[in-house]
Amino acid sequence: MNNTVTASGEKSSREVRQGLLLGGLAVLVIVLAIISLFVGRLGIGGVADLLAVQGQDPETFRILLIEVRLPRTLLALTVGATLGLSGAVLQGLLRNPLAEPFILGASSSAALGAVIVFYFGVAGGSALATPLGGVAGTMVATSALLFLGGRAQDPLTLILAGVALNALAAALTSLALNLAPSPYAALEIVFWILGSFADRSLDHLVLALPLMGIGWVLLFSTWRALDALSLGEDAAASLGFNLAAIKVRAILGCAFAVGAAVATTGVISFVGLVVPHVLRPFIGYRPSRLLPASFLGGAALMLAADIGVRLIDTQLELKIGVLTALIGTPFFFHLLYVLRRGGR
Amino acid sequence: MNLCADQMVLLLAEPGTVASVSFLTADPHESPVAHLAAQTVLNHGQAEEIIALEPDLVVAGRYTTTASKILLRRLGYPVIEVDVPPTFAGVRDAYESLGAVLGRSGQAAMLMDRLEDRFAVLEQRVAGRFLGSVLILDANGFTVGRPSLVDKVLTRIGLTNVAVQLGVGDFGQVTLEAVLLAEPDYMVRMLYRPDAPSLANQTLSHPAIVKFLGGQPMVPVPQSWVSCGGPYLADAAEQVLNAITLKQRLSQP
Amino acid sequence: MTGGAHFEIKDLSVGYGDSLALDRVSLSAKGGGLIGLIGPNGAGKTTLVKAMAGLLPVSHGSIHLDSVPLTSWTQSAKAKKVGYLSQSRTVHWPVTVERLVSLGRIPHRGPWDGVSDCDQDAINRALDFADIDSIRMRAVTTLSGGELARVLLARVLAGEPDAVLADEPVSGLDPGHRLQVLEGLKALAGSGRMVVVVLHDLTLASRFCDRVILLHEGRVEADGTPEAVLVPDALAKVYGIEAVTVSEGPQRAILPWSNI
Repeated sequence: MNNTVTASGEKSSREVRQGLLLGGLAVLVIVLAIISLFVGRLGIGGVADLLAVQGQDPETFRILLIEVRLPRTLLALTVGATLGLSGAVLQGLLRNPLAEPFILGASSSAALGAVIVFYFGVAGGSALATPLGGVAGTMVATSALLFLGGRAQDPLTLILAGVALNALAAALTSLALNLAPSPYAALEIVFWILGSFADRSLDHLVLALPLMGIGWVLLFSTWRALDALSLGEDAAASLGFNLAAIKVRAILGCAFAVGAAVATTGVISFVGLVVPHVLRPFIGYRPSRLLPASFLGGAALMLAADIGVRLIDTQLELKIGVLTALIGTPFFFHLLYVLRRGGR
Repeated sequence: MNLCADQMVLLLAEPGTVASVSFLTADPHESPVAHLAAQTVLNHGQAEEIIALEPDLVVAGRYTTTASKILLRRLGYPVIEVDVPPTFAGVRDAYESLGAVLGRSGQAAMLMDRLEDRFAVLEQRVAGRFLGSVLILDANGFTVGRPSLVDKVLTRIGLTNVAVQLGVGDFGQVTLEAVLLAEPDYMVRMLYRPDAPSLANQTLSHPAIVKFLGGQPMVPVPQSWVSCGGPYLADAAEQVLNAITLKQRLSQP
Repeated sequence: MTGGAHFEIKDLSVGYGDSLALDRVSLSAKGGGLIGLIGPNGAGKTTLVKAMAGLLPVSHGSIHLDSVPLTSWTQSAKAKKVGYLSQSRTVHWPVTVERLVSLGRIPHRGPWDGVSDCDQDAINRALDFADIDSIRMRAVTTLSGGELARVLLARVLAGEPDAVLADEPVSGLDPGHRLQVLEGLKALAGSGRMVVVVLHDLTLASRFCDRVILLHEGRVEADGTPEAVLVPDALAKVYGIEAVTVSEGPQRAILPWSNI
């Protein structure tokens, strides 16, 4: 009986700690968002400049803050949250710690869909068409991947499939951009492959947000099933979960959320890999608890990276994918090494 | 063989003596003298195409493929390079030298005099006043700084170029925020294939800029008019000055 | 808490591709005694148990649970009624033992419910049954094969289902734990629950099972008491072995001795 008492004492203190973690992440996100609103490139447009402008010309100040800084901050927040959340769901669903939208080729496929729609004026070139193009791209890719590679026992098989998909999508995107009517298109591949939050407008945000929201709802709805899936698919089915329905929800959720995000900001790599992996030990390895933690953690990471990109001294602003790849690739190799050695 | 060289040749040469021009020159988006190239054979800068036409003279630009130029010279074709330095004097020199080579010095002199006259008229209208600051915006947030012909044109018509303040050289990028913080009085938009969708063109219609301009359009100038130093600079200058004078008149009570 | 479950299987055929894993199997199963399912590798034992758990599509025939077709049961009702222990022993994340066992309570909890006292009691009982109370806070990836097997069994039992379908619950366990688990399962079956275990060990089958079903090439070869089923002719035909029988009072040990 002693065991039970100390065990439940331990348990409730763990619950409290996990609750504090979520709370702490939420606060971090808010703080970073506020900082992001007041950081300009290389110190231009920082707090001092803004206050000066506010004094002289309040209208310009307002425009700068609301039309330029705000969409950037909100996009970093929501796209980061999307990538973190979808990474956590994919890892829980596939029971594969290497799964995430970029590695599995979902992000690159979204870019391909968006590029085809945007540069060739598909669907009359309406502004909503581009994010929907991204959604369609991701949907095709994720379905293909889940139904081809979902049963693979070896986690590396799935990753290989993702690598192939990434290569194909990137090649087709480059081809599409070269064939596009606009002469600027071919050069814009850098944006699509490496991602950026710069110069996006509230219009972009307003179009992407509802689609991302739908995706979030679908992704979060898989939370209980992910816990049961840690026992394997058969056990999860025997516990009353409809696995086919769960998979469909995960695919659609990923498609909407990641598709809309990438269509707006380009492909941003590895966030969905790093965030869940770092947070997993702190929430007791429970896949269900990992979802809100990765959502907030992804938002925080993305905001921090976007602030970083503005502070780094380069002639042209760095694309954010550069930072995430610099962090994410060593991380990926480390995970690969650990997996190979049989650890988790 | 080169867009700017072609422009000069088409303006100076006697009609019917031009055997071929670059395919870019026939595109009205790229060149303001596209209409003059309508009946001419188009080449893609390849030596074989030139040889097939057996020209008496080949006019190329500084950046035309070096390999092609070397090959043509080796085969005995006279190749002259045309390069226009970013000053008004430089423009005049370039046109007059090419005119001399083509035996059309009279035409060259006439073109350059007309260019000077048009600017003189504009300067009279300005009458030494300072009209305000201008930022030229091209797709992707590119702008033209100093030293450049465009910059000199602006100075002649009483405007300062915000890009210089922002430290931009001949051609460079500025961020949206820098544009807003610099608060230019007027903005000129370089027109280049505005219909083909691209992210580059999207930057030009960013809501921040739209709101900053209070819904007013930017002054449009076709890029083909300023990409080469020549008579069309006057057209560009007139366009900008007319638009600005109109705005000033409308904003007066 | 004694529940009951009654399985009625008629003419069941289950095929993987062109070959049938189960070929017109008919049997009836309910609580009251431990049911052992034995047979050589590939005989269809796992397939039968999975089909009873409702995890496989049926190509022919029917399965009824408590007189209602299995396919008509809602997922959640079936999850509460039937507990399935898979043969594969993989767990994917290093959660604690107690957390893993508590997953067995999912069918009884609403989406937003935490672990109630009733849930906790069931979990504690399951931990006790499998003798893993001492390791309840350890991460499952640090456990030995035998400990993990017991943890997974506890997970199924935590749900307190009326029917337990256990696929090789004691393989990999040390002798002490094998006996302990089977004694427990026999008691569970005796209290009214339906318990089916797939076994390879003929002695354990003969000692603990009240009823033995011998499967061979997808068909029921024999179905009855251990004495009736585990006879030399049957063993020779199905396994191709000769066995030595050792009696200890009323109980018999059957030792596979040599290949024929």
